[in-house]
Amino acid sequence: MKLSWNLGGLLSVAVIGVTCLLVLPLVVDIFVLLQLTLYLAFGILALSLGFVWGQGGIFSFGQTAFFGLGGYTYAVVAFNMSESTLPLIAGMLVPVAFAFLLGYFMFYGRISTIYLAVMTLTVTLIFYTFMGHTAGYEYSIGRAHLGGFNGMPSIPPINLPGYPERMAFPEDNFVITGAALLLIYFGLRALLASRFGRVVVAIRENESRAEMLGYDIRLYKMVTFGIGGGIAGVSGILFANWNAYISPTVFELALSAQIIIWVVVGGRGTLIGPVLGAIGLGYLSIELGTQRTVDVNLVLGAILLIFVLAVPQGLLPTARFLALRYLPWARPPEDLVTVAHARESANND
Amino acid sequence: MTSLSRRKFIRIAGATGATLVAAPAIITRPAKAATIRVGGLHDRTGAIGIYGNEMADGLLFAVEEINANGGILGQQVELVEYDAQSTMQNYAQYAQRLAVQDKVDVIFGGITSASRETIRPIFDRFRKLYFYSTFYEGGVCDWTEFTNAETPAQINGPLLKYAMEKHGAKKIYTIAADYIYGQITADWIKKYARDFGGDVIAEEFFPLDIGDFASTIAKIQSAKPDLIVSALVGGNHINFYRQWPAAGMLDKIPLASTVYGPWENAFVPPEESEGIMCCYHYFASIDSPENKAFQKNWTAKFGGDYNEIGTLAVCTYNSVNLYKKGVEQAGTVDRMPVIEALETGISVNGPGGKVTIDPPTHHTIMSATIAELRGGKFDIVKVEKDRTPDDTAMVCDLVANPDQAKMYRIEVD
Amino acid sequence: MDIVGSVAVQIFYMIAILALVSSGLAIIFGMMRVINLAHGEFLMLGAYAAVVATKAGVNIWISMFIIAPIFVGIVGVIVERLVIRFLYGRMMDTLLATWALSLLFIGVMTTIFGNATQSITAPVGTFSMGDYSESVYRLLIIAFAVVSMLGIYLVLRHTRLGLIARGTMQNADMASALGISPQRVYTITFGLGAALTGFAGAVLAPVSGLLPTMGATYIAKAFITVIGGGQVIVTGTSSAAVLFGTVNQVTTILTTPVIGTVALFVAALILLRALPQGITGRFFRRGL
Repeated sequence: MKLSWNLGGLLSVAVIGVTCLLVLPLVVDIFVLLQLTLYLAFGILALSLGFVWGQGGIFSFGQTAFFGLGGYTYAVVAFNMSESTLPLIAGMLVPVAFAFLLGYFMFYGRISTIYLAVMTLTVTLIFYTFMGHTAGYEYSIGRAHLGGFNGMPSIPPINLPGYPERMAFPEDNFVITGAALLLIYFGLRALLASRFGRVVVAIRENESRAEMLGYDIRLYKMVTFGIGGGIAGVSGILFANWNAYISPTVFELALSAQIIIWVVVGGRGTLIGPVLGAIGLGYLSIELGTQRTVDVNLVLGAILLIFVLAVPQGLLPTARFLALRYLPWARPPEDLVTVAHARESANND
Repeated sequence: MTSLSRRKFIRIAGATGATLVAAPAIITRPAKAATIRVGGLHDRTGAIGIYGNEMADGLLFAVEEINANGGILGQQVELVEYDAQSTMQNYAQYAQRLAVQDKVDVIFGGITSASRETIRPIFDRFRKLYFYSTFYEGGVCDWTEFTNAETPAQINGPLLKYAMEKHGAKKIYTIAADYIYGQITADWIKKYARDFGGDVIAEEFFPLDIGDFASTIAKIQSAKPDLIVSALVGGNHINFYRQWPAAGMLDKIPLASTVYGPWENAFVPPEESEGIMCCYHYFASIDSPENKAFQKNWTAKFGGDYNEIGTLAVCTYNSVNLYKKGVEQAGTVDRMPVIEALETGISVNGPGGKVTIDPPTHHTIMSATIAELRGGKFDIVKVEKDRTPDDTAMVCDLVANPDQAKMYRIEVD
Repeated sequence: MDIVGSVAVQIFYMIAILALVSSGLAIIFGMMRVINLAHGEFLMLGAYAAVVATKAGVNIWISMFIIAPIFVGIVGVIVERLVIRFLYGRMMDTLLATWALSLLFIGVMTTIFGNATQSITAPVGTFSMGDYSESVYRLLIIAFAVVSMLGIYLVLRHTRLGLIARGTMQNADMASALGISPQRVYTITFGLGAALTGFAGAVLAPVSGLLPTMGATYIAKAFITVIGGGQVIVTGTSSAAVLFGTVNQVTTILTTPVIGTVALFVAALILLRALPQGITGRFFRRGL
């Protein structure tokens, strides 16, 4: 019963996702596509934290380190190439490698939750300080000039592998970003259903129990962190592509904190929730900036505050809870128990 | 909390959100055919808001003034304005929105160089005319952009000359923000210091998030320079202008700044700024009939307790008037003819004097005004007419080679 | 000799700043496990309170020592009553809530005061050591940092309030069974943390530019200091401030401010890796 419910959810995500990818470019304005592309790229970033934190229990305050690293690596390699395939691969591999390195450094030192958060944040701030310092021409890698706080403009776009002259237009970028999001989402679902994924969740639920059962939790955490870093890197590549631009502001504390907010708002412990959080809050803050009556920060702050008091579980779990409670046809009897359990465990940490 | 009140909360939160999001849609309704649509993109809030507010208001003021006087080519001007909230992603998003959805005819905006470099490629790609009105490090060479603001060659030369002559300074100590603006400005300071018979004995660069200058002040004290030149930028660096006088240095070593303006001055008590020298195109204290009239109208619109404005507001205001003149000369708002009209070297008489477009660089020729702080007021000591953007001219000739859209890093010497 | 004196003042000053801006956070996070992302805005409110009061004619020291802490303390109590108390035990929700509060405070202050406000000057002179002249206020800041750290220690150690607070943090149920209301203890502790932060903000007002976003400068470093210190509030935070302040300032003096900043962060990374429970996870464990 539970399986079919999950399967139904998965199927509907797949159908809705693919339909949107195929139909939206035909029907909506290019401007809407551009906006959606950014939200989807941020959605992937939120997903990476949703996985690392929501599933793996690793509270990373520095997902933007991998995000920015992915974007910067892509940009640097792309400036030195006439073709985007290698830059794409490098843009994914470098953040993964760095995440493994940092993961090794942290997990094998048995750093606990909040200390880990501060370490990841610190790493991000080092990137921020260093990248801001790279304005001089001595900070060039081949033809790529890092540019300090002004950032790197006019990054070469993604092209069809093997066809350098077939470059991605905004419509293509939308499809690429959307497809990446869907692929990563389903990839993570598959991963979580696998033996590895179940161990990851088991470690989140009870670290010492998992360790007693003989699992090397350091290794599992490092791999989880590495995968999360890779996903964040992909999102960074897509972000750099979205506007052909990247600057050290991606490493700012504000963005690091924002990702966490997306995950909390969307619903930790879910994968779709963080994506919805990223899209929703991104849209909200952009729309608020179009008006002049009230200060943007004031309104955004007030909305978030009401939100955390009124919808403490985050959007998706609350919606699911309400649906199960008030829409009898949506309710397979056993699932209420599961959800109630999920609420309880969410309350406990 | 019971589920009833929780649901009520959601409903209230939802309703508030919806109203707020819906409100701007009403303000920015689709234009009627007979208006000229102007886009504005500045940071009104966040860390850059100290500069952005007066720029956004300068734009608003210019548009309203033009409309009150019959518009451009008999058409009213409609302003579509966004607040980028000091965030780069927002800049990119609003730029796309202005170019693609709002279909504006021209955009005024961008404050930091990073924000300009974020949005400039977007306006290139969507073929939109773009005006940038913040003093910066020079070097932008882009056929679709016009820069109406001071570059280092225009204002730093006069400032250094004045400061070195007045204080007989030979040994100069430069402190600057650690990004392109600060680094290029430091290069120019070095060049001008030599030109005027002195030398820079030390340069120090500060990340934008540094807010403490204790060690620097000690280093300066042991280096014993004759003059400090500061190219510090932004909210945290304002702390220098507080810690320098606190260490009792204000009357010991003279201080000139390439970035100290009314924005910084709004933070600093009058006794802490005494004697600081700075140079811009415009100061509110300029004594001319044009400026008096401008100040009077500005106060009438924004009220008497508005912070003292500076060159940022006036350059933005002048940019709009340059655009107006270009459109009138071209007889259309189409981008190509307007750029060609502007390239004939159009000029306007603004509150700070005459401003003329320099065709090869798409920058402007303008006067440089040197001021010294006296009792917290900018006391004008010297004006140099018709300063040209020599720095950008070293690398950029859009008349000979119009097909360019890049930013050069100018190597001094 | 004067260069030694000057360097010493700079280092102690940096340590003092770190200790001051972290002390309130150390209480709110260290005792209550609330990740207060609005910490920077509490500092900002303290600075504004001191400046507004001083400009209204109040003596600068009274605004700094009394008005700013009381004002921010009251704000803290209100925040705790209206928001935080619903979120105890849900660390991540407090993070979201305090982030929201931080935006809200910035928004409110921008609406009221605009983007720039003229600050105040401390009415103290300068002193000289050979070639170097330095503000007496820098020495005062060092003294203020020492005083506030000592203050926290004495309150926690030697007052009934401190005893109750420590007990409640360790075991709320037990405290409750002994007839103490944990709710009230939480509120008071949060308020005290906020008041201390308000005081730190007021102390910073004469040496910084007053703008609604000024808190952002300090928040990351404050967190790194508090976490680097570990569980034991006073000793931990002070020793972390000593370590990071020294590393930062010595590197800055020898090289450049950029490398100084990076050195602070690298020191934090190495420290946390070597001592996963912070400094007091290994040393001074029995301190406070």
